[in-house]
Amino acid sequence: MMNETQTIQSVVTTHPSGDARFASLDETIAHYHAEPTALIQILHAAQQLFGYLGADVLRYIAGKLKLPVAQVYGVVTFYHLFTLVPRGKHQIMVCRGTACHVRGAQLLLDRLQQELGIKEGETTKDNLLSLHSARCIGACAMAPAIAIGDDVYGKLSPDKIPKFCQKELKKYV
Amino acid sequence: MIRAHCLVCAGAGCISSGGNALKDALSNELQVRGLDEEIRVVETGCMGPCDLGPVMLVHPDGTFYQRVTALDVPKLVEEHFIKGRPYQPLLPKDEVTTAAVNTQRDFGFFAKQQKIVLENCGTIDPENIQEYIARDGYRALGDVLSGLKPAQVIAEIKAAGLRGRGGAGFPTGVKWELTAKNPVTPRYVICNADEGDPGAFMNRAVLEGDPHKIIEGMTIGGYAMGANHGYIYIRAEYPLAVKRLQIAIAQAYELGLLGKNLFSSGFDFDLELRIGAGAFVCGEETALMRSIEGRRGQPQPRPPFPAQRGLWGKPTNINNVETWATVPIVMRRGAQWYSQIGTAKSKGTKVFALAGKIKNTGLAEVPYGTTLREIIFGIGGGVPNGKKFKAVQTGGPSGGVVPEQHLDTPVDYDTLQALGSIMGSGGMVIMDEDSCMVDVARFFLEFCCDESCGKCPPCRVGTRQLLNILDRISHGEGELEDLDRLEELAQMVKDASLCGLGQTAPNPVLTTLRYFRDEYLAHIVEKRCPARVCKDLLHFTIQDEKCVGCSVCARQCPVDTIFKVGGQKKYYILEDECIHCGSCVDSCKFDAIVKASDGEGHVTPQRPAVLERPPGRKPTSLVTA
Repeated sequence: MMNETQTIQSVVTTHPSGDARFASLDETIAHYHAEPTALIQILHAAQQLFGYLGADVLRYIAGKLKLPVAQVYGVVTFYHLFTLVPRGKHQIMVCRGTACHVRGAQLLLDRLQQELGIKEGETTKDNLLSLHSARCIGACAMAPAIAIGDDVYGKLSPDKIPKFCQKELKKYV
Repeated sequence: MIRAHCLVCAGAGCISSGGNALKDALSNELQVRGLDEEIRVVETGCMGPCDLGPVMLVHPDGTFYQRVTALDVPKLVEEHFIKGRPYQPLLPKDEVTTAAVNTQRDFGFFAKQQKIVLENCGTIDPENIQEYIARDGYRALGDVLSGLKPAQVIAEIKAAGLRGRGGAGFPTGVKWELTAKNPVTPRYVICNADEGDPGAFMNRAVLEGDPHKIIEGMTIGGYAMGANHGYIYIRAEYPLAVKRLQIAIAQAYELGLLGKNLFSSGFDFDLELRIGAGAFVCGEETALMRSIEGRRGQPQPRPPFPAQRGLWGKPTNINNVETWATVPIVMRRGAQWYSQIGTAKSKGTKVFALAGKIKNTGLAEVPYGTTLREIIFGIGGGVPNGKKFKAVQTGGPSGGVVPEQHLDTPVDYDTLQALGSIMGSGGMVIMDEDSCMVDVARFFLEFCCDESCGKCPPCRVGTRQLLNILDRISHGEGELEDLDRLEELAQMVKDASLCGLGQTAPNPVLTTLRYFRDEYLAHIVEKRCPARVCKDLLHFTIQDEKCVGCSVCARQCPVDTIFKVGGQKKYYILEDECIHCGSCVDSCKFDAIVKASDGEGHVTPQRPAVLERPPGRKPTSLVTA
């Protein structure tokens, strides 16, 4: 009971919005003792919570870790996995590693773009699916492969894409 | 009483082909038949032959089953566990005799390997520390902490001739000694699990299949170098590996195998995970350390080397996953034993990831000195679909291609370097006659260009310019002078870049130019792509004599550029609007559509007078510009 009260208080004192997600973020920051060296780990947690790293969140983290906002921004833009803009609920990652490339990943990506009506890096209108390409998801034996969250779908080909969109993608929508 | 164990592969490959469903179905079936007290289902790490997944191994008889789906389970249980005979339809077949292979031992893919690093992958449950301990796990750590001085450990690693598995092949013992002799404290050890090379997944298998081996190796290394703190830097793209490592670390702490006063020796060792965020350059050691420090992963000039000034300016030793995983084995079985495996200069075994145009994609562990031919054709089964082998790409974006005539080269660090490629971390991507070497070079260059951190101009600007030239060539706009420009520029980028990424980025260009110059010439002079890959140089034509007018191609065409010929049961492709996606070729059941790259000799078939919309064409769901 005691703990709960404290957490609630800390929300109020730490972020004016009172958004409960900041309380979760506070826990992660406390776990790493607000160490600036844990910045990347904390950004991971923040992106998990908010879906993307907005200016407000970056300023908040910078304040907590006593880092210049510019440095936090610099880190966010350096790494591919962080995003400053909202993405869809689910991320479709088309692997474009070597093994997938020689087995036709580009054609797969082209077909997915056509089928979903969005380009790489874009999000569907219903905000459910975003399409990206990944450098290598390490599922080379299943090439060409795509990953949606933690799920990997392998041995695809462009002509399987329409069916794939109808059957598998439904699960996420 | 347990009479048999069903080892179900839970590697990433098998999971994506339905491994989880198989496991659930199997557990369920055994329970329904009342066999769950006698037969245990164990989820293991990657067994290696990912292409055959989901795979399963039954102990004690050693029967290996391939492509097992949940639907096969009732019959399999009936045959194997009730009637006591192997379930024939799911046994692998011998390549030569085509007879069913009853045990894993006799299956060529496994029989030709020597598993040392992967000894536990596919054998134990990676989420259970007791299984690792039962396989002599943590014994080497116990022996080291209770009987050896740090210097003796280093001497043993040196005597074993262990070389770093991350790519450069630097002697591990020497590296450890440099860190150990630096008087500054605290010291750190780091495991580089940022396996970013596209086409490589060896480390993933070890991380997911035998995580304790890495923990044990790092703890031994920490003791030898007087480091009490270790970090595992792992890429975020491997969520399963992250999860299994977290479990493994927690279990090790629970049993007192990490933490304070290990084996009552007074030695403390703490281990933490650091998760990357998708930057290839972070595989470079100085960049990796910056990333652990929570900064942009930009490399630093060396010297100072990490052993001099590493993480937070303190002496640091960084080794690759496979190197750390080899350490406990060397300490347990002795340098004498280990140094007998391999070649004079490269000791031990190496895990290779076979991918691309190869039958048995997956992992293969062989002693150094094994020829490329043995790995690709002996274990890998060669190129599928009767196609002709063209080249193997080793070492990822830092490596190069090795053509057919050099396949009999015994593989070690030095031989591959002599061929212009590198060993790298062990990825091998096999290319067949349908792979275009200009496209492959362009692919790697695009990768390096994209992943360049931007700190030094030779890499940032040089790779971009190389890519521009290759782009031109693959679009059919290249000129002969481009080849000299490529070579000159590549050499400059190689010589002048700050870190390994830039220094090796031109390797794919240089090796393809060296071995496949004729392909470059075909693109430049004849404006054709011999492998028919480079889209801008392709033409698609429907052959009238073969076309039956079924309209499948027209319905597949994403840009509606295939029309019915007026009054005839024939179809015609409007070449000007074709995007060269190849959907029509894939969909045609009569082989009536030809994909050609005949360069300037191409003749467009005459356009019929009347073109009609194909019948039944659904309104397109596509967004066309």
